[in-house]
Amino acid sequence: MSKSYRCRVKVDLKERVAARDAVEYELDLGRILGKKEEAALLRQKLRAAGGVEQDGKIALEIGGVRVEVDPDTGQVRAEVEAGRAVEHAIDEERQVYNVRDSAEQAHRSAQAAAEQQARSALEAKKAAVQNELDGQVRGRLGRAAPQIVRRLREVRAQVEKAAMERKAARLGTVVARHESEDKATGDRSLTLEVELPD
Amino acid sequence: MARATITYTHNPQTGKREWHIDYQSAADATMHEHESKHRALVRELVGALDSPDLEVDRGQARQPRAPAAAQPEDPQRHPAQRKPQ
Repeated sequence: MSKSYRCRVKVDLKERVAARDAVEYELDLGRILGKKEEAALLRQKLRAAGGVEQDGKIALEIGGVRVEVDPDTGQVRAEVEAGRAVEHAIDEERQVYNVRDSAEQAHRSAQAAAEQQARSALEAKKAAVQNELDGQVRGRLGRAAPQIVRRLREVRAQVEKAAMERKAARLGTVVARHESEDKATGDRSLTLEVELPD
Repeated sequence: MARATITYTHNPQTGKREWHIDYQSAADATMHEHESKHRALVRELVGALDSPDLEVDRGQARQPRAPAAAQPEDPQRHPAQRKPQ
């Protein structure tokens, strides 16, 4: 004879969904000075731009994105991360019909069914959240990319100008220095007049 | 005394960078001396001249950007440019 039972089932599943997007490129310094000297200049200029040194690299926040520059290689890595906790809980009483076994077995099978149901629901939620977060990180990186490139170009220009001045001073006597900006084109120039020894 | 006018131009919007190196040799220098010293100066300043991402022009002297720059018609001035990317 089969019986029916009312069983309380309780499941609480929680997982974290993470998304990450990154771009890498090389800063391509002018190589006016030696590699080591230019790396030191880059490190100095990045710090002046608000960078913080971590494990030999300089980390900056540009447009809400973490950007890491390796001054020794000029390698740039911009990375965006996002994460969110996803959960699905079931806490309810269920009627279990046509049970030939004990109440304990009825409860076990009701609990197992609830766990399976919660797992499926959680996986569906995770997929939707993953999709949303992937779009978010791609969007954030895409929006920040022009700002990152522009800011690092400024830093590169500062390094190259400093390198040029240093090199010019080694070649002779710098007798004039002039900086200018062409408003129409956006070109910025540094001109040095150097008297060279015979 | 020989003189060099070195101009570095960059554009943060486009990423363009350009080095322009004018060389004016001492009054008693021969054309050959001028050529070789200018070449040595360019090599010294932008050491990686053989790099494939460089474009080096030797062209006509251009209008000076700085007040102290020499006149463009000066025959002893031959600019060399370096334009990475």
